[in-house]
Amino acid sequence: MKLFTQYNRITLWVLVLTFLLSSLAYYFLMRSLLFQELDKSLVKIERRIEDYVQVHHAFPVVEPLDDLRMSYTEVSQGGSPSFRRIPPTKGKNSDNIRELTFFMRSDQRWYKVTVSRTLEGMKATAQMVMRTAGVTLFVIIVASVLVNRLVFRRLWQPFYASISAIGQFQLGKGNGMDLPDTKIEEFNFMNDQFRKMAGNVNKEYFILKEFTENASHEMQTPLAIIRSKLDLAIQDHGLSEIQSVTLQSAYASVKKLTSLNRSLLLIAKISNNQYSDSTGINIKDKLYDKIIQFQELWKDKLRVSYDLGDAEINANPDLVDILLNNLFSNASKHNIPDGEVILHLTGTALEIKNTGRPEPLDETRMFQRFYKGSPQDESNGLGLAILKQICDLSGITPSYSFSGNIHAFTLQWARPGR
Amino acid sequence: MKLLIVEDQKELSNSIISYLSTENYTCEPVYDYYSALEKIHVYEYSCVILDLTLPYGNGLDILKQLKKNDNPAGIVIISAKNSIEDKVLGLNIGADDFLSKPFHLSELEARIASVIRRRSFEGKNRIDLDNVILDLREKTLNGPAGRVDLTRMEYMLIEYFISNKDKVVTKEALGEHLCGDNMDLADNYDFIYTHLKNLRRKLKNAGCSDEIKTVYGMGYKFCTAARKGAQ
Repeated sequence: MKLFTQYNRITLWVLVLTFLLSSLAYYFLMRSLLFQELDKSLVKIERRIEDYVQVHHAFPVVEPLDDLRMSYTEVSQGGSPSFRRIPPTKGKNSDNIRELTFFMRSDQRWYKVTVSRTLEGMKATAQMVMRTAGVTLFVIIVASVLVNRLVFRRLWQPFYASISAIGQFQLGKGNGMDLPDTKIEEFNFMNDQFRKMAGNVNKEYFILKEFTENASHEMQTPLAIIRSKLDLAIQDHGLSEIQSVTLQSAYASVKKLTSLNRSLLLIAKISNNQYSDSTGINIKDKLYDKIIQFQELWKDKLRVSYDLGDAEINANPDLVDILLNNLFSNASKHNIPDGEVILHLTGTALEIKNTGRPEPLDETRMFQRFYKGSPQDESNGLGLAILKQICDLSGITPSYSFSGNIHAFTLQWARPGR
Repeated sequence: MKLLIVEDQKELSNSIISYLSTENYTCEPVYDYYSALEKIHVYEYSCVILDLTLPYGNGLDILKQLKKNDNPAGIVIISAKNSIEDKVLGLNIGADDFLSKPFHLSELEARIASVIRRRSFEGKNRIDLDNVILDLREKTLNGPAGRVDLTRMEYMLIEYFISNKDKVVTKEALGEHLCGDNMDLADNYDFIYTHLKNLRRKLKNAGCSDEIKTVYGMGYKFCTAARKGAQ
């Protein structure tokens, strides 16, 4: 539920309640006012009757058509005047009747005089009050809805602009959040906090990235020393078999560490935007070059078939080279003996299919760093993470599918504009 | 031939020197920017092995100095900064080769040999082996038993072996040399074996008495006839 809807609901209920209560109050107020007026008129009539009796020594005749009713009764003793309200009789279309009873002396005798008058128009008054309240309420509801639609939307505009700016914020892209300036203090306060947060997050992120890159760099030198020492150690003529095996496994580990370090450094560099410049690349030619390069590895072991159409992509040439290296390496590394590699290139998509392990890769985790298809996998698990990162940077959408022991990677990109 | 090793990591410098000194190289190590500048002004070298990050200065400035003075020395950059900009910049200023750390010493030696050949023996396009001559331009072996053509891979292998004569060269180093280090070979070195088999046969056919031996579990060794006799 939107904030205004919630707010509206509350205000509308309060309004309806207020109107009902105020209409009721208004009704009763009106009624008591009318009664007062009626009572005043009855008191006036009392005086007029007294005057009449003093002059005429008789009670005035009551016209039956008049709304005024009078009755006289002779009583033994006088009393104080009193007002009485006779409520309308049920079922009959009768109005409230107000009755004044007073006592007067005439010719040494006490008379009880009752004057009554109907209070007319009570119903009409009530209806009028209700109708006014209803119409006002309706007008207020319509007005508030319109105000919300038009004014609130405009008022909340900066809020939505900020939210969408936060949505578009990309960590490590260097640019802060593009938050609009507003005249509204709360939104400005919010935007300031967002800006501060984005600044801090970006700063921390850059520090972390710098650390990764520096750490990888610092590791290169000791690795170079270890490797050079091993290169020297194996030159020894008098190595025993055990020593050879030991050196060999040290070699293998240094090699793994080197490739791991290179991959990490590459990831750091890609995310540090060190490969930002791009040009139009003829993918078909690139693929032919790669096929020739990999032919050495594939010869006698894998069957390769390809169907390459013309295609161009706008990207960084070094990254495209790494991307194709990764794809080709994966297709040959994770293949089976006498397997197959199939390449298919159309204008905006490259599909590379290879035979391989009978289980599909975990699509939710395959692009994560250090993901391995199987525990026996000797690779460092960074190949697909690098692939994904290059794709993200170059506007390529990678996808994976598996059917009948064939693993297929598809890269799709937009045709470069001319 | 004199080499200048400009590398601030003493351990690495020592390794390079002990590996290269078995060949007919004389190596001089320097460990910082100023000593390097001093050396290049006073002496002449066949090749300078240059690290880029040095105490008190940048290796690229040493490179610029060498080029400004028309120093004839070949230059091989070894850098931990494996960035493409550094590589492009270094090669543009006039370095002959760029090797990123960590590298195989055998690869370094092959690069140095190639740079020196290109620089100081201009016009010389043959290497004399025992009984046979490797023609660098034609990529053929000419021996008493006749002329044998080499494929690109076989040529790359023999060139590498000649640069690392009588030294154990690992499969990994060979693989990286043949394919470049961007290719993830995943311990797939079978293709080297195929080329090696052919190369061995061709050497024999040409009448060369040098041979490529397998060092069990380690790699290969190109044994020259002279050394074999000494053993």
